[in-house]
Amino acid sequence: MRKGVSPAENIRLLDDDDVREIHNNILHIMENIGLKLKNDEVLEFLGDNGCEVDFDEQMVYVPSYLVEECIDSAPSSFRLGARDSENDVMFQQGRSYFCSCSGPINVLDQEEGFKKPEYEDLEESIRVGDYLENLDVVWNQYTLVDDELLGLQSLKAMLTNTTKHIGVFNWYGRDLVGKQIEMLKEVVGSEERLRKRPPATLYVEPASPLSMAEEHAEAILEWTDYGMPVLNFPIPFAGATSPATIPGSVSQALAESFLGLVISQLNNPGNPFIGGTWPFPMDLRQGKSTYFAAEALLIQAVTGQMADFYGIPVFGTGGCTNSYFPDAQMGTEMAMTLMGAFYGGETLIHDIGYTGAGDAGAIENTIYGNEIVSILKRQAEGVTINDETLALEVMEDVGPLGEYVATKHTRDHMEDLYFPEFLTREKMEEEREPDKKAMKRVRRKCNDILETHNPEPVDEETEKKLDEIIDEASDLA
Amino acid sequence: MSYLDDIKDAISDFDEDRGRELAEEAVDEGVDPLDILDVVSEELGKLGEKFDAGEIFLPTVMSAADVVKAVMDVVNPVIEESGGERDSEGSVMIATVEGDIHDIGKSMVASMLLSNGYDVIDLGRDVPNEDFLKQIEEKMPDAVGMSSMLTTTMGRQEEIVEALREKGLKDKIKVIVGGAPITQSYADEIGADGYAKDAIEATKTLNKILNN
Ligand code: B12
Repeated sequence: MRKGVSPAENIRLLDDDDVREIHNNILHIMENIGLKLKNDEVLEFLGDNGCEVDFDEQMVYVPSYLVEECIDSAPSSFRLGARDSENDVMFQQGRSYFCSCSGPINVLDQEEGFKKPEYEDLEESIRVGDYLENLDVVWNQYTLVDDELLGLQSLKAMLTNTTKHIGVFNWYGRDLVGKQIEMLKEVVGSEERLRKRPPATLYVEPASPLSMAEEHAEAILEWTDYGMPVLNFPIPFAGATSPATIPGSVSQALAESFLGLVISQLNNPGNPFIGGTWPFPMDLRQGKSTYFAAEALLIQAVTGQMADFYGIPVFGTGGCTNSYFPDAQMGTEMAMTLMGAFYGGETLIHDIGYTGAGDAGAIENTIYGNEIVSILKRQAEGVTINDETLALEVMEDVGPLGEYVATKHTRDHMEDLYFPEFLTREKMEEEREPDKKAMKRVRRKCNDILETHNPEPVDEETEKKLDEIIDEASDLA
Repeated sequence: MSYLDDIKDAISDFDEDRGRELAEEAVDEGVDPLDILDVVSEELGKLGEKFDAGEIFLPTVMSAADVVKAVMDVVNPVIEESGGERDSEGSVMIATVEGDIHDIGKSMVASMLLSNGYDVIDLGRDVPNEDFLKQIEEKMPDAVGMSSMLTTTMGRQEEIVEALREKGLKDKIKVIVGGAPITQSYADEIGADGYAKDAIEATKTLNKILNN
């Protein structure tokens, strides 16, 4: 069982009144400004369940008491199932879990450059995710370019290449999600198993400002009919599609995210739900979307604190970079976004491995990110104060000019220390040897994993069934 | 002369309402609408250059473009009515293709084209092929711009190009494409006349293919 980890101390920027102000802002947005929802069937469903709806404008207004009820009914902890029960996740707000990135349409090989992903690349990225100890949830790191049935192909790649919990994208709405559920059922064996140990989380993005696409709304309904976890994560660009100020932007984003909460809870009270908000404002000088910004560390902390207040887990972004190279920018941005998300208290920290601002995924970066997470986990252990750790006795024994290396005290505690795999010192004398760069070690590790790590496959019969479902679905594209 | 100066001020104050009012008053008072157009285009052009050079931020350009658009909406019909010739770089119809709701980049491209003297008809996002083609045939713009941000929707660009070819419009209307998954080689493959990786380049590419 994977249990997550929380930092020794969270970064907290808001006092109680601040938290209340943001909460009231969110309620006000949902009740009075309203959200656009382009799906009459879901509007009708919401209208029947106490929301005010305007069919002409396709708007929904959620009364505050209802939002509060949905917040109360959403669980703060639940189980994420996995093909191998050892990899089941005891998922709870207040702890952090880590996850590889998903979606990019390019593979970035740090030595060879870009290429278009093929099915084998999806499989490789998933196998690497399966191998990496710190990844609790695995996702295919790329999407295929020429395949119209993206959701199903990716799902098959995940189901057959990892035994961990997985994430799935919604691409076309209810019908495709229905097929995804069929495939999941095939692998876990029964609908009951789906409900008890849901093997996948559905990922949807509402569109900022304040709207949700037709296919997303219905997909949430379909998915939560089975009680499986759903994640509704907006990508507001502060200054472009949300207010430039952080409290406003986070309020708007959480209102957008909570429309998914409301749909899921009204459809199936107690359904696992994950909220959240994107932490990177738009670069208003260049007009570009970014995967790093100084403000991330503020937004992540505010979001994490609101998650605490609600007792609702949130999705976060860390381990990503704007850089297209294995360079200083990459290392800085990956580490800082992971730290911001972790110390901020975000729950499911995704995006590890995104490079070039999401243009590509790089499995080398994911492997490197795994090490950064190890370092964060070391910090999470905190410092214990007792006679043994204050160590007066050994100091007395060793005394001035002595040494600690060969003492029992050191032997007893040396394994407390974390020994990095990549961030090591490599002495170079006459000249600097590029082959000794950290990212070269990562590269060798990557080759190693791909050569040796083969997760338990699904049986042939099941794999055939999966293919059949995909074949049948070909008219959905 | 003061109307023109006031309109310039409205642009630098980002005051859309005032821009519209001033334009209306100016036209009523007999100011030559072509002069008004010159002034606003020049102002916006200057801002576009500064943005290119990294001297000012995007919100400044977009806010100014909103005022200019308000002024143009008043002035253009008057010019057309009087049969006058506007000094336009050409007309562009732009949209995000069917099934795709990503429109931030598309809107930026539209603003930049506007600020560089183009008449821009923005159809919005998730525009069904059928509607798009209908609008093209109706308005017959000099160029069509298509944005797609998803690998699942880039195929719509090819379909539109194909349909234009079938309708015999391909030679009359230039096609420019863009969006995250789009590349120059994809543009070549589907027979688009131009591609640009961002809003600044979009203007340059369009200038080139329309021989401006
Ligand atoms: C913001 C965003 C969203 C927002 C869009 C909000 C909006 N109103 O536009 C929301 C949250 C709604 C969204 C939804 C989804 N998204 Co999205 N999204 C993005 C993101 C992060 C940034 C896009 C953006 O606005 N960039 C900023 C603008 C300024 O840049 P730009 O769009 O590239 O535009 C510039 C150029 O491309 C060019 N250009 C653009 N159009 C045109 C047109 C012409 C004619 C020319 C010449 C030039 C040109 O000039 C522009 C200005 O410089 C990208 C990541 C990325 N790397 O692009 C993902 C991304 C595009 N999304 C992705 C996905 C998967 C989705 C969803 C399917 C997720 C889901 N399951 O919910 C849905 C799809 C919904 C749908 N049916 O369309 C993937 C696509 C993967 C793929 N296989 O194609 C991406 C690449 C993220 C990733 N790495 O995984 N998304």
